[in-house]
Amino acid sequence: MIELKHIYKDFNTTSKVNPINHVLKNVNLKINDGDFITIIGSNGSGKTTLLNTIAGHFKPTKGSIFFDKDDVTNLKENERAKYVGRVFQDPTVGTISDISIEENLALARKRGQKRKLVWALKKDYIQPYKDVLKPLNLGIENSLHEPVSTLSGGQRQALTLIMATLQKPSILLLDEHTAALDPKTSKKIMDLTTKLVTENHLTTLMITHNMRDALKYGNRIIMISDGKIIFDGDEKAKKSLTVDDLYKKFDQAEGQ
Amino acid sequence: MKKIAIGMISLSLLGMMFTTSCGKSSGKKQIGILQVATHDALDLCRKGFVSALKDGGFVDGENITITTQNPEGDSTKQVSAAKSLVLNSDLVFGISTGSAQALKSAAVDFEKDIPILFSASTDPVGSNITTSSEYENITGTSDAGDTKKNVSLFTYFSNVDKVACLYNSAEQNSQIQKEECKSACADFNLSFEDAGITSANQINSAFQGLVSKGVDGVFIPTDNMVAENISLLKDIAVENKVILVCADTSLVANGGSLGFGVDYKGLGEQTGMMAIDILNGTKKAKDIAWEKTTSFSIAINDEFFTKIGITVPDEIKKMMLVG
Amino acid sequence: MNWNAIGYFLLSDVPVQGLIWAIFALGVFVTYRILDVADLSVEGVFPLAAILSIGAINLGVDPLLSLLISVVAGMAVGFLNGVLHIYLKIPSLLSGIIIMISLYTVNVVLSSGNISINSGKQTIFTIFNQLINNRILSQIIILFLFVAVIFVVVYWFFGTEYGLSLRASGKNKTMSKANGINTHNRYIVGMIIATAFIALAGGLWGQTSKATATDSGKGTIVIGLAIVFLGEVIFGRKLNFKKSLISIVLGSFIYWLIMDIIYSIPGFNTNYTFLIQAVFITIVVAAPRIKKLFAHMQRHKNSEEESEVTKI
Repeated sequence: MIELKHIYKDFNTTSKVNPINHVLKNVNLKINDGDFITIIGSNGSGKTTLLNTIAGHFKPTKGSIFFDKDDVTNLKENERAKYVGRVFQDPTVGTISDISIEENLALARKRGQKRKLVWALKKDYIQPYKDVLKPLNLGIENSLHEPVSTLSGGQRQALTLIMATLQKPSILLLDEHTAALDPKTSKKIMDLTTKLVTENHLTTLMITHNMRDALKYGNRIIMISDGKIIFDGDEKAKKSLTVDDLYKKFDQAEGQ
Repeated sequence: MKKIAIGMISLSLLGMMFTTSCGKSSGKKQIGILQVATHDALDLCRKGFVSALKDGGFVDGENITITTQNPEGDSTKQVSAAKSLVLNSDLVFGISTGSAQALKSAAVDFEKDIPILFSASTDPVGSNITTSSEYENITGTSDAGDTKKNVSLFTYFSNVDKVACLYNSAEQNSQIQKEECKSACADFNLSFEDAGITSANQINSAFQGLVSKGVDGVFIPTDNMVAENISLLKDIAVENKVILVCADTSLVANGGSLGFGVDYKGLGEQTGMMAIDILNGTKKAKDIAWEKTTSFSIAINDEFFTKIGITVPDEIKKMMLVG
Repeated sequence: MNWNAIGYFLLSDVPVQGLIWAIFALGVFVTYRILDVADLSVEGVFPLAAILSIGAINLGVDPLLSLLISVVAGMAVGFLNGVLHIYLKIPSLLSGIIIMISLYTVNVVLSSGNISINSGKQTIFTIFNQLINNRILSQIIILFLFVAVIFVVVYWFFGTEYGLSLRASGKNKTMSKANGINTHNRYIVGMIIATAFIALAGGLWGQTSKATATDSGKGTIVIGLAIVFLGEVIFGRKLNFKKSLISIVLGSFIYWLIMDIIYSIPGFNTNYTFLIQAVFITIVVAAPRIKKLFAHMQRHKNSEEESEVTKI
């Protein structure tokens, strides 16, 4: 279980009127093993900051984060990476363009482990890579030596997903990972996401700007507004809510 | 892209074949001159060398071909230029310590027993130009000035009791002269201030600093960096009545007050005489002992003294006549 | 024209300079292409290494050990450079300049402006020369051994798990951190490695030239970059790592071939080499863009011809 206790996150601004921007305001969240939580919120509501804080990219101004019994609040991003798998909105961020697909996978293979002075691209590693890439039906497994730059945006996101889950993470963080893709590719990536999450029983947090997807996928929904969680709905709630209901909830929160 | 590389190389080779005079005429001796950078003193030295050769019957274009390389202070280029000159010449001449070292190193590596002449090096012994047992066919002239003679000039001005030396600490020659200035000041009961700099940008501020410390006399050694930028100091010196004694007479005209300088043209001629004996076959470079310069001339910048309203003492004026 | 002399000059100088500067360019490659920073500290490290290498020999230290001393000094400087950037948050361009300027003073103090190998002292080359009695060949053989060993080790290193993570760290910090890579640590290690190569090149250069002034580093960053770019322009940029390394060595040889041909032209003044270097680098760096412009012009021309035909 992953727990966020009284998380506040402030940023310094250059403004004289508002020198401090309070982005997260007392966020409390308990994530159970196997939860697939969709997160929605308007721009600036703090959802990306929330993900970045869980990943360790930002250190919370106040509060603590626990991965099972371990207090990870003071772990730096690269130290926390052994628990966290990430897919970013920009397909070019999650992979490295100039180097080969095989080299990218080799990097993901050692996430969270100590990297030693041993050859990274051993022949034995190739078959396992092919095994995880084949089910995608994208043909990537046949061009392992090609640079990632030869792949399309959708293929790169698929690869990033595979890389994020190559070593089973304690939590998978998806930050609007289909936002930059066309609808058809977007659907493919969502299907792949569902498949990986289900097959590997992954605890997942997915930020999406698509309200329909937010209701369709996952067993839990969280709505964030102005740095606070204003609604936390379970599976039953998701089934009964409509997109209009979600809008109404946002209006209510913002009105107050 | 490979094509472009091949094209560039072929063009270079073609260019090489068709440009400039190919001194293929038999009997013409090839003289190679390596001058580390453009600088009045070094230029004068080269001119003196060439004119001495001419007087001795060796004229560029007639019975000799002179090739000059000037790497403008770039050590890497100097190494390559030295190698090229050594291989293509019958005699080489290095103007400055670095140039002489580069020529010697090339001659040693190519195992070519070429006569090497050097000039404008203050300490050829310490710089391993003349000491090394691995190459003996080398001789030339040193431009070690008479620093004490120059510092003594300050004693003729009653208002001067604090003297500084402004120099480029990266130049070994300048370091040597600074030390000589320091001990000369001790001998003459003048207090000494060390104003070493590492870049031309610092000249102005360093000088201002000296002025505020109450320095009333500055000694400028034969120093390439300060030499190139002396005009920057002229106005401040006049304004503050600071006397600039320069070890290089060409500096006196450009902004200094006065000084005993090595006559660089004479130095070049002195070296040229050695070259003549070698080219005539009467002597080998290793048989000629290297020499220090003995001719100094004093230069006085009258305009400077008029501007600051101090009369040049008669004793000094007399030195000019003696020369 | 003395073709013999020119030929001999090219045959001897090109390999010697080509090999020394391949090592130097490797150092520049690590900072410029792997760490993605412009590092000017090389202009201070190169002479420092030459000075230490010569100075240690003059003090009686074994020539190979003297070389090691230069390399260790280079690594210390690289470490300092890395720390300035990572922990004091000084922009990398500036930290390199700070190091370069500081080393001016250090180099002057160590060498008093000029330092040369004293009479009777050996270099690694003269020791080997006692075996084969050909100075130029001694230099070429020893330098070749250095280059061969270094490039093989570098190829292996950057293919290890650690080395691969170092490359990743320079190319994409976000992805690297997300994969558990300590990018700060990698940057500093990368700096140490790069500066070690610069120092090795400087130490070797000092022992081949047998003398150095304190400003022998001026203009060297330009040579290093020119070689890296030349290699990429001729052999392509989207390469695997092995080909990138090979292109550095070949680039260095081609660079020196061109420069030495220029020096061989009778009556050619070194003054012109500065402008030639600048033009050379401009052509080399702009080559991909020039290619594109030509292709564009060609297409434009073709479409014009087509439209004329249809008019009829």
